[in-house]
Amino acid sequence: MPTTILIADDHPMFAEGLASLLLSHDEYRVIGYAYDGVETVRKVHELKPDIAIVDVNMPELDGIEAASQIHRDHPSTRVIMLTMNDEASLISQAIEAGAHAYMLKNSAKSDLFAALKAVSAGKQYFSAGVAQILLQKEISRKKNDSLSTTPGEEILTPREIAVAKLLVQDRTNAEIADTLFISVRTVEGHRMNILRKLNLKSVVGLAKYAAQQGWTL
Amino acid sequence: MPTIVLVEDEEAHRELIQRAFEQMHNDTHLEHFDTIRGAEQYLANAATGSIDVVIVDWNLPDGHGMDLLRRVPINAPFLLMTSFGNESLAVEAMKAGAMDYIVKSPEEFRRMPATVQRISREWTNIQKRKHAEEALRRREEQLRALINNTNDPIWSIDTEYRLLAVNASFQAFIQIATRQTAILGHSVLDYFPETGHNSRSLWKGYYDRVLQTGKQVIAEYQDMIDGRVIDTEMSFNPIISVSGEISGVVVFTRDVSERKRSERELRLREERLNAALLEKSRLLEELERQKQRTLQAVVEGQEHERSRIAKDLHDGVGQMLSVVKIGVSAVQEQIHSIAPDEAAQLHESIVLLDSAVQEVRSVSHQLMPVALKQLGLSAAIQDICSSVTASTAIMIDTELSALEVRMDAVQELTLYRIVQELLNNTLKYGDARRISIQALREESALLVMYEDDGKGFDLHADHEGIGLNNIISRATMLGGTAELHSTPGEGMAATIDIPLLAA
Repeated sequence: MPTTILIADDHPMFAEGLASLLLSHDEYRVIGYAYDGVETVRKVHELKPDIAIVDVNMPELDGIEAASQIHRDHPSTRVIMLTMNDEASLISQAIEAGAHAYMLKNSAKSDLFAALKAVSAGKQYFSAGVAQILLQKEISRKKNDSLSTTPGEEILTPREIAVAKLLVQDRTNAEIADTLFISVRTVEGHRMNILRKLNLKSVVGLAKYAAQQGWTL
Repeated sequence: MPTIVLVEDEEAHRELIQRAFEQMHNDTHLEHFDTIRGAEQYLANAATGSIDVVIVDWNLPDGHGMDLLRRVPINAPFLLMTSFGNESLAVEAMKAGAMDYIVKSPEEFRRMPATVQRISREWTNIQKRKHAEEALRRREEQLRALINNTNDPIWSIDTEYRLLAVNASFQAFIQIATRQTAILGHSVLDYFPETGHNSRSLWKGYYDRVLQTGKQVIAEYQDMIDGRVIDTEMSFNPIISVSGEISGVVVFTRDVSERKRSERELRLREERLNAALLEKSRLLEELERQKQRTLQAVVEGQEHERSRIAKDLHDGVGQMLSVVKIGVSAVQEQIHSIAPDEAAQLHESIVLLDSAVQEVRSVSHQLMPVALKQLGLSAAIQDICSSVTASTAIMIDTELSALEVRMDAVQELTLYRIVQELLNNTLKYGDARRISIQALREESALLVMYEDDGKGFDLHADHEGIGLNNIISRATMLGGTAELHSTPGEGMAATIDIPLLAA
């Protein structure tokens, strides 16, 4: 029995191109089309396809939200995101929404069929470009994580340290603003950021921190 | 030194008088004449006040002492000396203006200095009184003239509203051509109409208030005379008798039309000025709003255009290229017998096709990030940060949870562009190792704080302007502010402060 497929894309030209590509493969059968997110969810409900190939950027309801609803209400239908969009945030979001595969539209035919095959078998699949993007995101996250776990002053920016030192000296926001040639609002912002970063509640705690760090005021 | 003029032809009498003064040891100067003519000449030339007393004998060779009194204007007291039995003459002399008289006797001669002193004192007192009376009279005359010649009606009444005194203008005021004196004694109320803005009861009210309280009342009223607005100010003053009782009211009125007119004109001018100032500030505000609207329209237009181009690229060229790519790669897989150079050519075409799709995707993403619309500002900013950290050595510290609450699409897009611009700027000036982007959400404002530790630059240099001006314009468009700081060598910092509407 062939694997049934729903193609959801608001670009008819692409949908038809994709369908014609699948036509010569007997193991797959396109059983319907949807042109927006709402229609996609409804068609899945009606046709219960094995696989829904869903574009990310669609009118009415975006593809990721549609994927999320499909995953929740029809877990037997597996979703392959097939899209022009390669932003890391969208990819992560799609995976969280329950998509089994994330493919870029310029993938090679072989890549596309590899995805169909993997997903049919209940596995996940990401095209080469997508894997690279996710990896990049992971790398930059790690890099930034290490940033905030560095001990000492590194956790604060140079400007925050300047403001923190003046705060420890019991200066008012207005005085600090005057001293550093910045606005009172900016001082307030720095103050909140400093306390947040150091996980402190007040300037009293900051004074303790300053002493621990051995700041010269 | 007191000067006494003595007119006496009898040698013996003169000597006695002289001796009396000498015995007093005072420094009285005695000017002696034998005849009226001699004394007359002297007195006529003497300055007023230089002579204390004139002592004149009745019988003189060239006439009576009285003649001197008559001929010379009196500017000193005259003391007449008569012989015994001639007292009747003295009465006549007093009538003519002499201060006093004595009946000649050795005793009187001895007492002469005391008599002269007394007369001199009396004369001074009389002169003082005369001056005072004169002054009072003149003042009264002036006052009367003033009251009678003023155009302002003045009148007084007793406690029964009967007119006690009026001035000439009062008649014109009440428009009655009766003689001034004929009005007196009549009730003042009779001269005012029973009704109207100038009514009797109104006036009676003023009189009664003064009569009851003993305090001054100031009132104003307006009238139309010959098509001209006349403003009158009236002051009702109590007349208080010596015993402290209120015995009447004196009313002074003043035509203050001129003053009122100037006041009105001044007020009108002030109002006009205020209106003009108000209009000016309104216009300035309108201009500011217009500027903001224009700016917003420009930015929105720009974004709309970007969005349209992004969509066109994505939907048109992008989709087409994707379809072609899939088709060509299908062909490639189906062809099994192909010359090696042709296979290479096909492969090269596919690679080119791939990079074309990639290019379209990247341009379209630059123009309109899909993640921003679908996932919001935090995710979209994380995306640009990821691409920066992935391709450079820069580390970016972000705290963007405040941006996870979705905002208005224009606000999100604008803030996104601002952050994009800031990052571009950091990359442009290079040498940054760290960037910090932090968002803080307050009750009614959103703060985005950006910092880098790059080379920094001179904010005031012209060529730096465009991108940074864009940041400021965009923040202004959202009704907020953008505060930028940079010093060469010390990196750059920006605080974007955007007001949020209360939910």
